[in-house]
Amino acid sequence: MWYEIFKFELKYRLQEPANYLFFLFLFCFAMFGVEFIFQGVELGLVKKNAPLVIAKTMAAITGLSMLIVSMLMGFSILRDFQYETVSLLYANPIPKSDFFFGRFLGSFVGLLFIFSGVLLGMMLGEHLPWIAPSEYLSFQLWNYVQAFIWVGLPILFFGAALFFVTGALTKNRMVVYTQGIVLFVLFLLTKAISNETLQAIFDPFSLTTLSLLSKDWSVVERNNLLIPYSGVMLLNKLFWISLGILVLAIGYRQFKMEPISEKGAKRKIKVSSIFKTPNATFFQTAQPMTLAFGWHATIVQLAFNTWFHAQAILKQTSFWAIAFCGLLIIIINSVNLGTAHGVDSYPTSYLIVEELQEMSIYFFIIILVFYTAEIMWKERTVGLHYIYDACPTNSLINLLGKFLGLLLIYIVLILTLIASGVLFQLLQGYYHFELLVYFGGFFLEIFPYLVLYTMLAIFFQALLQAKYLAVLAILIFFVLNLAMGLLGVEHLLLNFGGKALAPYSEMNGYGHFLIPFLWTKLYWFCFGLLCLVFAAIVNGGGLAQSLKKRWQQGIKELGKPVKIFSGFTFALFIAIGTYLFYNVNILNEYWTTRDKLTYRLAYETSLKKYESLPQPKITDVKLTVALFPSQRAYEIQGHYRLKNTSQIVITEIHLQKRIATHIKLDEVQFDRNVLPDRRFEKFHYTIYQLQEPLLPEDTMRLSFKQSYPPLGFENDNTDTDILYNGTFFDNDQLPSFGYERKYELKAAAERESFGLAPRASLALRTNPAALLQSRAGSDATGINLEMLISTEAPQRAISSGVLIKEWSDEERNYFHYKTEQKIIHFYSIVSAEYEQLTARHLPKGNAITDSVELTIDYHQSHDYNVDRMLQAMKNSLDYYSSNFSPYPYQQLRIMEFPRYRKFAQSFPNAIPYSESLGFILNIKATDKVDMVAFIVAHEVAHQWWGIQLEAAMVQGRKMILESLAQYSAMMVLQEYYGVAQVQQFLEMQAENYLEGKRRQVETELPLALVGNEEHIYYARGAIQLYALQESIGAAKVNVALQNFLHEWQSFNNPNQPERYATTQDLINHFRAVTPDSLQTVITDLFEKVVDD
Amino acid sequence: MEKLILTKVSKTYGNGIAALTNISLKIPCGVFGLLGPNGAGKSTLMRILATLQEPDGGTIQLGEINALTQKLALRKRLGYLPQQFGVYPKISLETLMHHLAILKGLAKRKERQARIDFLLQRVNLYEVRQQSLASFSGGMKQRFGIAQALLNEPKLLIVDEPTAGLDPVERNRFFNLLSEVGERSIVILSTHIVADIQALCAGMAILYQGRVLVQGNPLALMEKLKGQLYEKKIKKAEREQYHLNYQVIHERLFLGEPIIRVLSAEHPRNGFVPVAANLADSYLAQINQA
Repeated sequence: MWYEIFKFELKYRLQEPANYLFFLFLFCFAMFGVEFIFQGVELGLVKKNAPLVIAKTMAAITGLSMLIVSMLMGFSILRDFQYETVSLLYANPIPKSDFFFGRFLGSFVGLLFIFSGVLLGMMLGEHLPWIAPSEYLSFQLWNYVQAFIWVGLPILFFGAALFFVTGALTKNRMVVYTQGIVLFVLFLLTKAISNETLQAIFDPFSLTTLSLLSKDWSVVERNNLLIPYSGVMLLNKLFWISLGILVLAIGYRQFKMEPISEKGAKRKIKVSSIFKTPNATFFQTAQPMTLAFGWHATIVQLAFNTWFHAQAILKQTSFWAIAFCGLLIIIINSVNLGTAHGVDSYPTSYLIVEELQEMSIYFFIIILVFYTAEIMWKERTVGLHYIYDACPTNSLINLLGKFLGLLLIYIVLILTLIASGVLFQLLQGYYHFELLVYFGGFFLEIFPYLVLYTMLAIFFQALLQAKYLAVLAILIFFVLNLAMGLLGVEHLLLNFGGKALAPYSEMNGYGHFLIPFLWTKLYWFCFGLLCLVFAAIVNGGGLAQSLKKRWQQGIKELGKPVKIFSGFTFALFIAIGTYLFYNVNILNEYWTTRDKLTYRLAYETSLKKYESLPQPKITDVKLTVALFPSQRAYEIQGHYRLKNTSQIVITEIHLQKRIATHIKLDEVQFDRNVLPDRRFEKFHYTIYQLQEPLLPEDTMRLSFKQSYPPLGFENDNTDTDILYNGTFFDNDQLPSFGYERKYELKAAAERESFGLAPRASLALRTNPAALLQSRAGSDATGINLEMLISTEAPQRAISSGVLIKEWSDEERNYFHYKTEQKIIHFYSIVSAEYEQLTARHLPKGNAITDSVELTIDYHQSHDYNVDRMLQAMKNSLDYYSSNFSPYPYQQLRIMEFPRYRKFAQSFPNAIPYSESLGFILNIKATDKVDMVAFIVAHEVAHQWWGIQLEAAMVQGRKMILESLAQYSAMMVLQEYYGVAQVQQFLEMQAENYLEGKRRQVETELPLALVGNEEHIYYARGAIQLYALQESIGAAKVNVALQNFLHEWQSFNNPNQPERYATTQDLINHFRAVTPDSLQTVITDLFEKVVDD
Repeated sequence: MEKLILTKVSKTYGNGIAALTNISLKIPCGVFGLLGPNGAGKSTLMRILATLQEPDGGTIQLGEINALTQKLALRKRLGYLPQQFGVYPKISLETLMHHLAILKGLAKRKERQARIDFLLQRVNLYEVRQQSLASFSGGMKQRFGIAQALLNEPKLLIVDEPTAGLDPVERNRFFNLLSEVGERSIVILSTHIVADIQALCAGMAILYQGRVLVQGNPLALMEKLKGQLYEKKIKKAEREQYHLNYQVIHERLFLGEPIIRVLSAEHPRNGFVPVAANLADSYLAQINQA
């Protein structure tokens, strides 16, 4: 008997077209599974079809597809109730066990057929024509099959058992939808378990299990070992399989083959089973009434419909179950707020909003997709549609009511999220609630997407007239729309919904990003309205007919007002579209990624020949900068003094204007006659033939006017240099000389696709040309800088040098900066509305006359840590000036800039410091590393390492610049903040290093030869230099550094060598202070890679 | 008073089955019965009248309104109780009534409330108006169905097989209500039960295999059979023979023995006795002759 039921179930499944769609979906998803699951993860040397990678991908896909499992298994028994076949079926003499297990097995085998799509899709994935063979091992069938059986199958079994049982016992459709999400929440909850082993055992998708068991695997092991049948994996699988069996057993016991649930039958009904005897005739007692169908009635209908649909959803337990699960996920994920190096930030509103946003979008998509399906099929599901269809209501009004009802639901959820966010802040003792930021974050950034996708979901439901097909369609559309960018369709007129809004910055708000964002949303909103109208037209008519008939009938029924409305909307859609096109393509230049790449390619192939052409060096820079932040514009008058430092007569000047739209370079004038050659105008590259050549050691002048008046908006509004509040750019903005390597194609894969060799890695320490450069294509060896900056009041403009004068005039503030000694050719221009903290400090190692003025310019509400920062500046200056060399400038400034960029950077006596990087860190606990102080100390250290002493463009350069800054900052930490903090910091560095090492693609080089690997020059650098200090003593290390500086510093150095410093020079100084017995330590620390 | 006039209404389904062929009817105010066996096309016709389906040909006119092109106008005057319908779980009777009332154009709150209260009292559901419809019995659900159909004081009320699932007492009350409505509106009732028509309808039509066999007053229909109907009690073994020799329109069992009614222009003798025709006989005679 059970076999009959099994067979019938399987046959039923094979007939259901939706199952093939699910298969297809999983198959396609799995084909790109590895790319999708591992996006943004550096696999390094681990291959994309390594058993571990396959297993993780399968586990993740299965986990993400739990919704499919729940739909397939959950409806297995529920189906009989839906189609009302229960009474027929249950009246037969089928033993319960045969029925229950027959059904289960039939459904489960059907499920396995569908999920074999994952197996097959992944196998096909590695044979796709465009994959890079170097990223894959040779194909091994068993790697896939083993992962499917040992990792995927048990997950599916547990899911199948659980969903089958809950579906059978609750007999509630929404429970079936919801339970997939519940399991997902369960998964996230396991992440909160602090014991690693327990977490690995209880992870239903065994993702943490796989991570834990492979934690100590080497690359070779990762590429070769199959997933073991022992240890945590065995425990995990045993646990979940037994739990699955247990669930089935309980389900079997509880399940009754009864057509009516007792719960329903027990419900008490107040019965008045017959009509009252009429005591008067019908119409005599009836009240007078009017039927209205005008505007007022329409509005009442719309409002009431909206509320009716919304409250119907709000009354569902399942809705609150989803909402609760969603909140739980979001809140669990929000616990770690904006941490930097293990330190929590203050729970500022925008951080909370961002955390909430991150998870909630997925959760909203689920709600959106399912509830749209539910609401669109509402009348038909229960069988009320004939009654509705016979009502004299416009079908557009009905549809709009449903649409608005859904929006109301989103609003309820959003308000709940906002309330929980505020509650979270309250519990953290943070009382600066910015409700506007909350509203902006949700109602500007998320809500419009929900609106648009709801419109689209309604459209698909109406068009396809098949509930689950439409659900699938909208999900596929969602993915396709994301993928469109990758396929080269990037224009905001074609990318449904437009692009995301830039993050909110407390300094700059939404800045200039908001206006184009709103226009784009409006454009798509019109499109969505048209979708809705279309949906209303083809959704009417009740009985299923061909699309053409429904269309004709719908048009007839909706009549003129709808035609006028859609005509108007269409006109608006076209008008806004035209406006967007005008902005993006006419006022600005529209570049696809492909265009950009080919441009870079052309730049390199046309101009590379000039790379080593001798060009004069800038020795003096005089700028008059006028900033107009409210228009995001500037005008710069520039004067350069140039000197021929080479041995060769210079006859042409190659002037490279910054490549960007709307930047204009005019009035280029030399102090002699020139013949411009504009062959390379396409690359903003002009060659000026000097009528009178520039002899070696000779100087000349150049003046120019550069202006930037941006117009309209671009497709990718990504410029964060010039802002309403918080402008920050450096001399990169200004004209330079000769070929610029920065315009080359960078990524190896891109270069390869155009047939270019990878960019040369750093030169060897013996390369004579590279030793003469301190940065790529440097235009100067050292400059005098004088700058007059003006900006709109009340902003302050800040640069390097001494502020010799400041004044205001006609709503503008003027600042005159001048350096008193040569600085490296690296300066920034910053402008924002600031609060200012100033202090005077005499660094311990400075002469008594050389006190320093310290300034911190910060955004008004970001005063949490400024005192701490000031103290850190003082401490750093004290330590460095007394241990390395006196601080050479009279001022040291920190300026905050908006959080679009997340770093701090040292320029001569000026340190721009990102809003996100410490101004809001919550440093209360004394047992944690004071990261604010550390970052300040690190940047101040660069005033020595990088700004006074430059390193040659050879291997190991970053050790001199960054590792020494790390070491210096650690010494400040040790001196003023305690050894415990240093120890903790070292632990973090050790972790970072291992993490980086795991992702590293190339074989590791010793620290002294480091290239661009952060985990080596930051993390390992800190560790090794600290170890040196422990081994030979800080005093000796500092003496070595002092000598190193003395020998190699770029300025005030009468015996400055001809070239720049290398790690060889640094290590020589270390060796000079190290006793013979410890020389090997230096070799081990800096010149060897210890494989551990 | 407006009349509902159907002219040559036809409908063929996609699979080639002709559901309705050239239906022409003139229906005045009052309760009009549409009688026919299962599958005769009653529900299709009712759905077409309720503007839910489009016929392939023919016209339907309610007074000035062309029901096929002015659907919205017709719907404003329409009340419809489908043969089968479900209800939302968790929504109270009153909420659903408000919802439907608004859809039907009862935009003014006070009037709507009064109308709903009135109707619910009339169908005796007022006491349970706060309860969820899911908990209702079949009869209660049907009463909700008629109450919602009457919300807008329809000029045309269409009730499709409404008596299924009602017990005899309930059916009686239900008919009283319909008959009252019929005093002012056109009420079209479809059924396969002759007694329903007999109880209620002044006018009727018999629908069989998509065609109207006959229409008119039930009494006139019965009159047609006057003096042509004979009855005889026979043995089971003789059944086949009688069916061959006579036009048997009806056979029923009485104490286990068949009694047959035959149609005959003159007295068949042979133990037959003449009987008076009832509506069922007319109906069966029509169907037999078709």
